[in-house]
Amino acid sequence: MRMCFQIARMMFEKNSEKYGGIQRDLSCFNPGVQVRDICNTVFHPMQVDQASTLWTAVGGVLVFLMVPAIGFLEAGLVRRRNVINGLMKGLLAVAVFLPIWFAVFPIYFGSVIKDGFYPTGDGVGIPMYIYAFFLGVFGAVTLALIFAGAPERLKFSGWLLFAVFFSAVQWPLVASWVWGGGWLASLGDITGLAPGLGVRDFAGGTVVHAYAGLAGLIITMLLGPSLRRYQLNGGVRVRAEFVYKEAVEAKRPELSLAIIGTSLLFFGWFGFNGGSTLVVSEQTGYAIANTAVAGSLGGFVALLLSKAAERAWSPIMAISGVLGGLVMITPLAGFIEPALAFVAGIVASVITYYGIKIVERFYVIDDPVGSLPVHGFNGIVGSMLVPVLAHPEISGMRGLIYGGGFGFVAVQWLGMVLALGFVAATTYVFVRLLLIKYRTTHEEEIVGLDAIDHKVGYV
Amino acid sequence: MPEVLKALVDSGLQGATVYREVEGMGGEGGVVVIGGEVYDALTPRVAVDIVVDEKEVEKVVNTILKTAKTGSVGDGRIFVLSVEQAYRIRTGEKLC
Repeated sequence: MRMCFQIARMMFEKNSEKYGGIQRDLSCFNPGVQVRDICNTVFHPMQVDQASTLWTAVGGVLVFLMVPAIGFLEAGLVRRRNVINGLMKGLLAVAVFLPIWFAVFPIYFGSVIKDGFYPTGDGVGIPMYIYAFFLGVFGAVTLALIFAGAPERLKFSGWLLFAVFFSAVQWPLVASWVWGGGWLASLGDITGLAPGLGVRDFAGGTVVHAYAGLAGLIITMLLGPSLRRYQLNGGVRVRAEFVYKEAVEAKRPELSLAIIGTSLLFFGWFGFNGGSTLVVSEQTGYAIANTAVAGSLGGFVALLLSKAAERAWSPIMAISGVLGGLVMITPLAGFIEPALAFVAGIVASVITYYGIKIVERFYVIDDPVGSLPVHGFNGIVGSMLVPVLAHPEISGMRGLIYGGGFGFVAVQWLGMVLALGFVAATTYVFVRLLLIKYRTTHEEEIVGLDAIDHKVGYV
Repeated sequence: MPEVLKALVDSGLQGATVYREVEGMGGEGGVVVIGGEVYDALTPRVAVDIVVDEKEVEKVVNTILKTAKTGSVGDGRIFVLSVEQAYRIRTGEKLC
């Protein structure tokens, strides 16, 4: 997404006179471009940047698969009576988000679109709807992830209500602030701390993963734990004995859904990170290599930790570790050297493993899918590391370890606080005002959402 | 479950059938009515069939009572029934 800011700024916002002049000069050498020069204004009919358009479309299609895959992941880790509900929310995240997104896209991202194209170079660009689709599937992923963090206790109509609010208002706002040339992207200029810089989020560490982890956390906290975590004692909720995930304990066949879901997520993640360069460039190679390294190491090291501590090659830890590594590398993928991706993968696996243990041990929230430790913690740490690890030649930004300034660090962290603060505040208000009415009762929770909402398993 | 089986095998048990994925209801009730509609609210259970000689019934029951007990609600029950006839399919032999 780095290119997006640079080009957006270059083409439309600032220095238009300066670059307008250069454009005209270049166009003289490009006979394919018609130039109409009236009163020193330049008009280019945009042409398709074929390589970038194809790559962005392929990336979007890969990311698309991640949305139902999150449903698979959730279905594999919840009580058997909520499996269909988990899969439905994965599929429906696409079906609800995308139609709304294509309608509202021009409102939020109109400023980066020129003549129906997202410009990638002089006179060439990615067709607007390909760009919109690519961004849109990221939103659908976020929506699916939020509710993977709060499963088993919200009725489907409540989900639908939040999904519409999320798709029309909440996500497009935050995404446009960071990726659409909004105020967070130029926070360095606004605050004067780091000229030309701002919140940099390569493929969605903040905009997708920390966002989803945090919103899921708030929804889960406000809705309260599900019945796996409490018992009714004379009508009063009492904390239950810690129960290891039912799927593992009972060796339920649904657990395999979680492993399939993670495999599909890993697959799609190459479009998620690799595609986020939009323009096919050297950076694309870094993004793909870093994604492969961090995801693989995240899973493998978390697996070793579980073998050392619990004497089991734990499937839960393998799943969570892979996802943790991928989440950690998401904001960094196109910015850092592959050598650092090894470090990121190992750090992510440690954060994921102990994050899950802490959340379970100290009863922070009832989170059977591990959304807070996997997506929340890793998304936040990964995004915080961007101004530290960014390689000047790969990313065009000088990270702290390459002698960059603390201004960038301050701007990035401040911007993250502002963006995530907005997410937390709006989610809190929405849940308190509306969503809380759709909390399942104790009895409904025992019956399970499959039967209550979808009339499945009702015989 | 593995601990219970291990204790039974150690005490000389020859065979058992385990039903891992069954659901049932006890004192907590297995049916709820929500909004005028009736739903089942059964609890996941494990069921085991063990057929032994009359002389060994007490030993098997005691082993299960000892090893399967956690002391909390939901530990389960043991029912002792008599078997009228038994055949081995492979040989056609009548076992009892």
